[in-house]
Amino acid sequence: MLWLCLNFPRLPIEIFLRAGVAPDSLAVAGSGNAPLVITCDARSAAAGIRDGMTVSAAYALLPELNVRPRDTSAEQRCLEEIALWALQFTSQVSVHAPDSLLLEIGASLKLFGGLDALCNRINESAAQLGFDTLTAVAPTPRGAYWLARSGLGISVTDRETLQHRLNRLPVACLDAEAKTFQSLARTGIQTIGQLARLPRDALARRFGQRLLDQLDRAFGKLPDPQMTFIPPSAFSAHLALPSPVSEAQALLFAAHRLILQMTGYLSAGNAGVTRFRLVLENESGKTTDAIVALSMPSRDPKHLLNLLRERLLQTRLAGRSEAITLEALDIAQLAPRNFSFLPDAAHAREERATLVEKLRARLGSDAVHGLSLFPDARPELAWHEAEPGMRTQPGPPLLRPAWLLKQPGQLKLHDGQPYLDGQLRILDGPERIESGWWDGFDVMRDYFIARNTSGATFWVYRERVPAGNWFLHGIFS
Amino acid sequence: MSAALDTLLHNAAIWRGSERSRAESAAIPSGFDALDETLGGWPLGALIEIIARREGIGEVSVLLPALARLSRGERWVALINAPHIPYAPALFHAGIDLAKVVVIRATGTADTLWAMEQALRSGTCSAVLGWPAAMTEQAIRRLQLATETGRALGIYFTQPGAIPRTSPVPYRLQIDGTIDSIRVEVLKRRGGGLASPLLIGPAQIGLAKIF
Repeated sequence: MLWLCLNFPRLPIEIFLRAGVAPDSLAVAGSGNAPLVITCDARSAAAGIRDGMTVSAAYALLPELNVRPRDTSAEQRCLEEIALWALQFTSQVSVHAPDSLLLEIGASLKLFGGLDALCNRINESAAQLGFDTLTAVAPTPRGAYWLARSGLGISVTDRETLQHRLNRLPVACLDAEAKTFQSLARTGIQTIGQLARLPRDALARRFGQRLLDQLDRAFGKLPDPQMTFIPPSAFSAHLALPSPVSEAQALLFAAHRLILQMTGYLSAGNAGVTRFRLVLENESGKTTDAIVALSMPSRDPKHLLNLLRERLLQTRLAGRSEAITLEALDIAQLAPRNFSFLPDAAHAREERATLVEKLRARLGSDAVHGLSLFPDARPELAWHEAEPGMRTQPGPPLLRPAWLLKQPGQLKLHDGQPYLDGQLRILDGPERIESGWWDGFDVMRDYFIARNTSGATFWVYRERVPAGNWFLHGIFS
Repeated sequence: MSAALDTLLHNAAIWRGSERSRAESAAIPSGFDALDETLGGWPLGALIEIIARREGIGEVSVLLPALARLSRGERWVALINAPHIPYAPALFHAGIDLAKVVVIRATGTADTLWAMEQALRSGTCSAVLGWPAAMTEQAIRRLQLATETGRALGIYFTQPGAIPRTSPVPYRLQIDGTIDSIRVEVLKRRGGGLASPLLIGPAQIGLAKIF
């Protein structure tokens, strides 16, 4: 077993900053009578604000400072959402509250091309999601956690080196109460190594069995089973926007973070999304949905973002958005790609589908369709809108106009003869079409092909019941 | 002239130096000898404006043989903002593979032009036919660039009402009807040179047998 700890040291503020729209000079503070600054952004830090400072002192330094109360439940939810994304690297992910994920990567090394390649990839991907990370690798989960938290970005793969490294860590990395740390300080114990050298029974007596167990787990002397994160059946990720946003571009920046989380999750199961939704929550709590449908499953973040952009540009936003949620509505397995040198039919089909999606994202899904034949004698029912690319059954070889009118238009008569930009001369007909008595849409018509003196040719019919009226139904363009 | 040479010269892919000064990269046979002689087939990768004097004179029929041929390939044939329902039985009868046809309805000129540009540029369409309500010089330049990129048959239809006298579009054809044929006038083409109007007849595709 080899554990990688992915620690998010700035999570309390990054849950606000990663949306890209946070106000300048933001700090996150704890609660209580004299709240302390937990962490702050670069601009506040430049003004001299430090972690652990009281909020009132921070205001004195920077009057325009924005202070947000810490939102631990949002942090927890964010961690679980990142855990979904992390499933692409290993199937065993654990959420280690309040600020870390633990990934068992022993089985993933070969797939990702070794430890260094995997670590780089994880760090880069996390940065794209908008997080600073500290990582460390160790044979025990707690060891990896301690090493990561201490800021040592190291990879340790054997127990001996681990012991050596852990011994030099300060006792502050232990999970203990304030009074325990005080008594440790009083006895002059500063490092894990000093603590571990104490007689075990004395250690347990003075500082509690829990502390001893922590040490044993870190060194691997006690098993330390981790609760494997069980992904929910559907993907959903939420992002609060600290400043309300109405510009599509800013929304897209924030949505991009969530799309990357979703595609990470999708790649864990070699799946693609065929329908997803961005829910925009406005200031008064109302929501607007932007739904994107794809004709072929995809997990290409660039492609998905493009589709979402087109969709958003077409969506009427109800006021400014305060939060966004991305949901994968339909997920399908991706067919394994055929890596041939020649462009094959499947690849061409995929490329064609991309265009259809792009057009649909902006124009609406009804606005793009294919054509198919349908065996019905009634001209308006002899064809259907179909999914583009659908094969159709062959039809009878009938002489038909290239354009059919959406509604037949009644023709004027001159001396009892139909007339359209001039007298119409009958070229062909009648072709009698009688059908539909069974479904209430009866058609009893005699069709003719007729041409005027300008050379325009039309498909017209004379109604038999009620008798006599002439209609234009098609144009031989 | 030998029969073999004669056939060869009728091939649209062959370019006769005497007719035009500069060769086009690609074209496909239009299915009409007269048109192939004057135009060298429908050019691919160069935008074409078709000015139809009125509806129903064969302005779409002149394209059907080329569309049928193109639909046998792997790419879409896109119809964007067509004035009426593109009638599947007629297209099928003309030999077009309906599985390659994609019909796009766009409301407004901006969306129509956008859809045309996307379709042309994507490289996934062998033919893009668009009916924009209006056209600007800038739009023509964009569409021309997209047509080149996608190496497609790119065509937009306009009405004779508001045609600016000069336009950057490389090909411009005016189509009119006569009592028994389609009259095609090449107003502008690459390589220059005026051509006399040509007649395709007796009339629209498929109607020949009832004339």
